[in-house]
Amino acid sequence: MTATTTTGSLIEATDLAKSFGRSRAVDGVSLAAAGGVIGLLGPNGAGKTTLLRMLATVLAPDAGDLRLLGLDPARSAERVEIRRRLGYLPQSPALYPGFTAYDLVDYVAVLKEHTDRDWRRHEVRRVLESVGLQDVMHRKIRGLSGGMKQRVALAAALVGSPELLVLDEPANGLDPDQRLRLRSLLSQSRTVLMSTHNISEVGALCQRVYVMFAGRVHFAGTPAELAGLAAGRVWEDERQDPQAVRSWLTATGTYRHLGDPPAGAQGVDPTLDDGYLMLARRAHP
Amino acid sequence: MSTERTEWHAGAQELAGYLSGRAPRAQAASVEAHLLGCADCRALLARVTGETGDTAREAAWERLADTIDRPSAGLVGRLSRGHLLVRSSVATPAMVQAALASTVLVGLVPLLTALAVGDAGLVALLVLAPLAPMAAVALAFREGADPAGEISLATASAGLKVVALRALAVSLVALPLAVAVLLAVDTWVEPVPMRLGAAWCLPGLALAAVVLLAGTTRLDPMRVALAISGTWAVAVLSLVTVRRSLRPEVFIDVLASPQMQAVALAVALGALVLTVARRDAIAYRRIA
Amino acid sequence: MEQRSVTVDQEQRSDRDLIAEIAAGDRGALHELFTRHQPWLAARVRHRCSDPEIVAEVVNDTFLVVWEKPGKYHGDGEVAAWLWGIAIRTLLHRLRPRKSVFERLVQIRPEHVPSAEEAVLLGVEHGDVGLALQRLSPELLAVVQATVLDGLSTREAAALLGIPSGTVKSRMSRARLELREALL
Repeated sequence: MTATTTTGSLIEATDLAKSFGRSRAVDGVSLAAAGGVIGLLGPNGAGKTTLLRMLATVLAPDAGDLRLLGLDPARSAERVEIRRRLGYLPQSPALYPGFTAYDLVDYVAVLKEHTDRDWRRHEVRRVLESVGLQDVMHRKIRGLSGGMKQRVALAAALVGSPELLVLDEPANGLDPDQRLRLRSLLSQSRTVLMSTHNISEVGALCQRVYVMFAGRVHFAGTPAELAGLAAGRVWEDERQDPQAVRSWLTATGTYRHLGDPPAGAQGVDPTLDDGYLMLARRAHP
Repeated sequence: MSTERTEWHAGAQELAGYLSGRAPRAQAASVEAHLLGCADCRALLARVTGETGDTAREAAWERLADTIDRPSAGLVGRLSRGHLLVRSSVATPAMVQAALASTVLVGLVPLLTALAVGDAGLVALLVLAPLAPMAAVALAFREGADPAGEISLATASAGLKVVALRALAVSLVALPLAVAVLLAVDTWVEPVPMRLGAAWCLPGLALAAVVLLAGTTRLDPMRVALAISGTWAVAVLSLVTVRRSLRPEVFIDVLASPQMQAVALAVALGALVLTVARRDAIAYRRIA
Repeated sequence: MEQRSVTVDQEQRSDRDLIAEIAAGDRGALHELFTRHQPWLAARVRHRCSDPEIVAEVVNDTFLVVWEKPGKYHGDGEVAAWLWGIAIRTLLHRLRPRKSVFERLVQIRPEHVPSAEEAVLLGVEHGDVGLALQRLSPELLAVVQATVLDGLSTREAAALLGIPSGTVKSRMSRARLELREALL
């Protein structure tokens, strides 16, 4: 796969909107990405899946401008070209249980217009090895565990080494060992847009993060900047503090508080969780 | 490996001799017989073959892997070896099964009603036959029709071609079954007028084309198919019930009339032309 | 680097376990079985046929059978012996393809019940028996090797060696006599 465009931004979305009936799933989202792994963080129902579907050219936006790889998905010829260079992993992929893992990835490779059988065989093998399924590639999908099924779908998204990867909760069902592998897998594509509701994944995998609540973006920046939102607003104590906005018991037995610290409080460096909570607090006061 | 009965094992020397072909026949036979039962000596033999042996083994494995690494056998697999479009259209046996099941149903219901209520069998056939092609098209749109589900929607091949081929593939499989059903009803239940045998084709095609067109809109093709089924059933039944008795001939006359056939043909062609014109909407769905 | 998601050491899986896993579609198990058995299998086939291309084909086809029909191993006896049975018959059919349908219909192989001498030969690999075998003439040794050691039926041995079945039987009887004398 060679990149024929050299435009700076691989994803350029301006004021995207999508409604289903009366509910506005995505309400004016703007997003730009030009390489690296971008995380889309937010609770369930925040509109992440709808946004990702639009970015994967599976769903047409109701309003707004979208450019992927410099091309316009609203035009059919350009859309086909985008799809040739794109890999998509939906949430809860429905894979036909009667296919083997090999069958499925091979089928998707065919849909991606890879007609050379020998090339396909090597590529399907390579991608299944990269997700650790080389031993079970000829087993039927119904005989695979949940984590393995997820990895089959991931392999299908990765086949052909697409430039742009759109992944909806890719780490779903993977064990910690495989999550670590995910990082090296993601580095193969130029731009990866992945959603998660797990904050630690953002820290481990993403260079940039967008936080979404109720169809809107409330934050865009690096993970460090997200943590920085809670700078100076986190302290730890031996006991609970009713003045804090949020308090919880940590694993070490102390209490961690978020809010306006009282004088003399033991301030600590904010983590991603703290920053996210701060943001959530502001979004839903 | 169970305990050896003798203490003799093939040493590296003997194995080397065996491998080179220098060992006398009896000793070679002896080594061979021993290897069948001793994993340790087999491992030793592998080591004795050294690097050249390893390279040869890896090459042999590559050769074997190239044979086994392919889409699985079976009818689906064999058909799929061919052209891309054939592949994507026959890919889901589950869908073909669903279509066959619905065709069988189309056949069974008239047979059973005829056995029960006589005349009503023909009526049931009148109602159900034109709906069968429509079912094939509606099924082709379902996400479950594609073995990779939503993943396929983001590939370069997604679009009208795949859906249409899928519907066609299902129809071709169901067609012989439909003909068999008609023949069965004709032979064992009551004679099916020749005109009916031919007359349902164009209306069936028209209804299927309308459902195909629905796939280019925001409407769910499945719901459209169900709505059409209901309307059609009501229309047929009301036309057929003349003063509380069932007179299917009335409807057969209407259905087989040149005007009706012309209307059906026009609807079919119109819907197909519109579908092709709007085919991009299938590739870039407006429904989730 | 391959990721091992199993905690059990690969080396400890017995051949039988591997066959079971192959039946469940485990490609890694096939690779392991291949690694363990290809070397000796290729060597043994090479001792029966000098054409390297045929040897490679036979080994390939043998493991292909293992992959496609692992159920044919009934759990009795060594896996290695089962593999050899497949390999030698693959070689036989490659070298002497069965010509007529009639011949194929008539190919009913009765269960091979080892005689006392054969049981001894199978059990004791060296020492006395080796010496005894050395005393046999090449034709007798070839027949003994084909029937007892390679496990072919009389008909198959005849096909492989290119001699009539009757000759195979008579040579086996002579071989048995000589071995009996040598072992006593």
